[in-house]
Amino acid sequence: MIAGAFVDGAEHRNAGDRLPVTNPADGQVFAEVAGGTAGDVDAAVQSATRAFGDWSPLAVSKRGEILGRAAARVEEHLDELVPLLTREQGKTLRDARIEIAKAIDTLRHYAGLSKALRGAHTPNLDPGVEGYVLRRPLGVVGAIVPWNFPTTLLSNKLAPALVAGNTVVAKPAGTTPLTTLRFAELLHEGGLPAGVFNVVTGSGATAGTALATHPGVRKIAFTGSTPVGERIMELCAKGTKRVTLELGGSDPMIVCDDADLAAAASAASMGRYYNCGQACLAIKRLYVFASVADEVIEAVTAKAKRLKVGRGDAEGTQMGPLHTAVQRDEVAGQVERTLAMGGTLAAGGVAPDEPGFFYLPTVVVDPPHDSPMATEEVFGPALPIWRVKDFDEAIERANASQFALGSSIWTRDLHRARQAAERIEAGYTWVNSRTKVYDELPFGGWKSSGYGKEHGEEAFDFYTESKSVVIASG
Amino acid sequence: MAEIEVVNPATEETIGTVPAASAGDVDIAVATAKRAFGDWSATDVEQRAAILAKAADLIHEHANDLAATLTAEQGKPIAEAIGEVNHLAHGVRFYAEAATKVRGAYQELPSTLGKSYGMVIRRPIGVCAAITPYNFPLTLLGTKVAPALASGNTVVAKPAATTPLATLAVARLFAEAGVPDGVLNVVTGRGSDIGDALVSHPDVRRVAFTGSTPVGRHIAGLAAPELKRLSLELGGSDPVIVCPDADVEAAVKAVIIGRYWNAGQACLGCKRVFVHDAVYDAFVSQLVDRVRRYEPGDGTVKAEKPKLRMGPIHTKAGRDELLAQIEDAGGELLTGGGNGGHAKGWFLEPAVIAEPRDGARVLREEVFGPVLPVMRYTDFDDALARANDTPYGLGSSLWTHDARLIHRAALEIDSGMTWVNQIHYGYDELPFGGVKASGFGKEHGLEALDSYVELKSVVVGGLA
Repeated sequence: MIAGAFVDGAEHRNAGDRLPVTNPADGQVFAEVAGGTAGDVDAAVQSATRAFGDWSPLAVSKRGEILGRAAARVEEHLDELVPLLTREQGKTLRDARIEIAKAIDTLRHYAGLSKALRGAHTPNLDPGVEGYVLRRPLGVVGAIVPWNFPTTLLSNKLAPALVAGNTVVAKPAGTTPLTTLRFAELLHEGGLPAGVFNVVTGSGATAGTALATHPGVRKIAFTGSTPVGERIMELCAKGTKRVTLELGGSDPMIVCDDADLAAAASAASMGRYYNCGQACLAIKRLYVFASVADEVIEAVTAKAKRLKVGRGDAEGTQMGPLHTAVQRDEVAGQVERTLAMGGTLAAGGVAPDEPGFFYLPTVVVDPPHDSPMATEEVFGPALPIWRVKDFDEAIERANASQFALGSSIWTRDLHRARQAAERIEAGYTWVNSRTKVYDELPFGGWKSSGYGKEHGEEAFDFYTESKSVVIASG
Repeated sequence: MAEIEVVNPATEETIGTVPAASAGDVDIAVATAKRAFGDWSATDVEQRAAILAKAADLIHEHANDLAATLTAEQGKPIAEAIGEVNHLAHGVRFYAEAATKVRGAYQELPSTLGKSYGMVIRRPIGVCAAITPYNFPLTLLGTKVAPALASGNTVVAKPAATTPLATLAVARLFAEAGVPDGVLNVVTGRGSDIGDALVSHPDVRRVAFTGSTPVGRHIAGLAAPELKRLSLELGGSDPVIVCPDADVEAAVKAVIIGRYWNAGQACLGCKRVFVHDAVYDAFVSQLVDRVRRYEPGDGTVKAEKPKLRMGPIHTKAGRDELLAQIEDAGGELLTGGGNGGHAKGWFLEPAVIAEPRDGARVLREEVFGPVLPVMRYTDFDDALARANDTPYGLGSSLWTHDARLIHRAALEIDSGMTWVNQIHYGYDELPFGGVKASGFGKEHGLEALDSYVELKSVVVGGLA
């Protein structure tokens, strides 16, 4: 059994119940991890609190250098991490490699950004009086990370937190603890000081709650579902902990009649089926101008049918299984309930009768606008496509969701691109572009998609407190 | 092609030769850089940054070799040469990392002329000339080449005729790191032969120069007709003010580094020290004790402890100028001024001059070597006035913990930088550049990136 935690620079044995780690490709349990209890979380928070004393006074560029070197150590072990991630998460080896490389990139990005961090100075507030704005780290940050992208969603929190001078206790999902534990170990081998980054695996109910309610934790950075995010926010209200919440999404994509239809269809397919559709940021509702809808539906459907579904570790697999049986059943149920209300099944809609939590890439055309696929977040490979009569209808439908994370539009018309950028309620709008998240730009949703920003220099705003300083010299 | 001999200033021996380029060679280099600009400027900034990061790694790996070359051609002690190489690597890495973090802007606009919005976009300038002096051939190359390349420009660099070798070695490492052919070019030769051709070449759109104020003025004149973008890092005569509450030992140590590092051949240095009467005697006696520890000699040979190695002055002309400035100074020469008994090499024993006469050359001119005038003051206003009584305005420093004096010095000293209780060190993180006769434009910091792009305002209108 695996000890389940990494605390104060070393393996730590959790005191809680055994948590099975299952390979989603065959449903077989291949490891067991000791779950973290409130006591284990407390040990990690204490370790992070101790480490804060030495970490936060370092020059910010020094923290960046240390993180950059530690990232290099992780990169040296990329070949070892990729199959581990595939095994516990289910994604293809190719997607696992993309994910971990991106996680390393993000660490490097913030390591580099450390040199460019500045406060502000305001001269002559009054005669002989000047002011400046200091940034100070928060203290111990709790990072609660889901199972869909265990490493990138960790890096998004860890990198700005550490560079800003905080220390971190991370809790990976109970079903994907292994890559995270190894990741932590490698970062420490690469020179990250003990206690600066701790990991406690365990269930959300036990370890997650303990972390969110621990009085020594100043902030929770959470990525996960909207219901759990709301619960976290409630828990954090006590002690007025800071939060960033990256929650669910149901990103609209609009394809206009003047779009490059082939490119748009390709982006839709990639945006929906990448990572087996298990992404907060994914194209989950597709609105196509009626005059070009047949062509787009045909192209997306053909792509969905062509995708090679199989074990993530098998040669040539383009889409792996869903992460858990519960997850697969949830998606299958959403498709089923939707079709019962209306719409046409154009592809998929089937869970193959074989071991593993597979579900075929699915396309549903013109389901009712109040069906589950329109109103709920679909966290799997099922895409609804609607015909819309014009641009205004497309925007209206796009905004008719409780979620507001990403969005995209395909058009060659500047007016439409501009209108979409202004009118779609979302934290991100891509125009004629695949929905790739850049480290350079802030990322984070509106409405029920959460609060706060990751990525970009804006992320630092959520890992620091600012202080206004006035010096009177008269 | 004619050649230039590169001479070791410690031994006066020739250690290598480089081509003495002609105006025609400059043409070829600029044309090459111009051809390379299209592809390089269109390369993803991420890719350009990755290449620079690789170059920084290679510079770091080859630090010992580069330092040996630098010491042989420049004269500085090997430890100082290694320090310079590491500072170069740090600077290159700074811009590799900063390059992807720079942003333009989006601007909402009034709808008076119809609905529209604005963007501020950054575009590289084109071919940039980087003209570097002999005192820090590598760091002063890095402060130009790294932000220029990161921003998408191409470069023609001209090192000092006496220090071309380390520059060429660094250029080869940039090529090895993946900088494409034509993006970074080096022409060697005398400033008098090719400097004008490079600066006035119509295809050179930006000139970055570090060197003396007279040459800077000449370059500004050449660049003006074509309205070239220009940054000039010129001479300095940095004042240091030591207040009655100062930590005298710390101030002395900092002034020692600020005046005697690199045998005093630095634009940024502690060149005039004003010490309050209450601590003057303690300051001067500690200063002289420490200065006497320096032993001028060959930079490749370590001095025996507790002696400290100081290299030679880089040229004979440079040393003769310093001797003349000492001769002119008046006041009391407390230590130094001789050649240290060397038959060969252009050595000068580091000097301290107490209270030189009013109007002495060491107070009016830039002193480019290990010679330090120290003045007594009693009134802070008077110290500030004397600190500003110079044509130069590069650095300055203040030694006190009194917030009122710190505030006044920050506001009232005319210079590009003020350090409080710190040595005059050029951080990569902060913009560096002088006022008055010390030049204009900024190197270092994110600001340097601004000086390698043209900003363009874009208005997109006709919106519904």
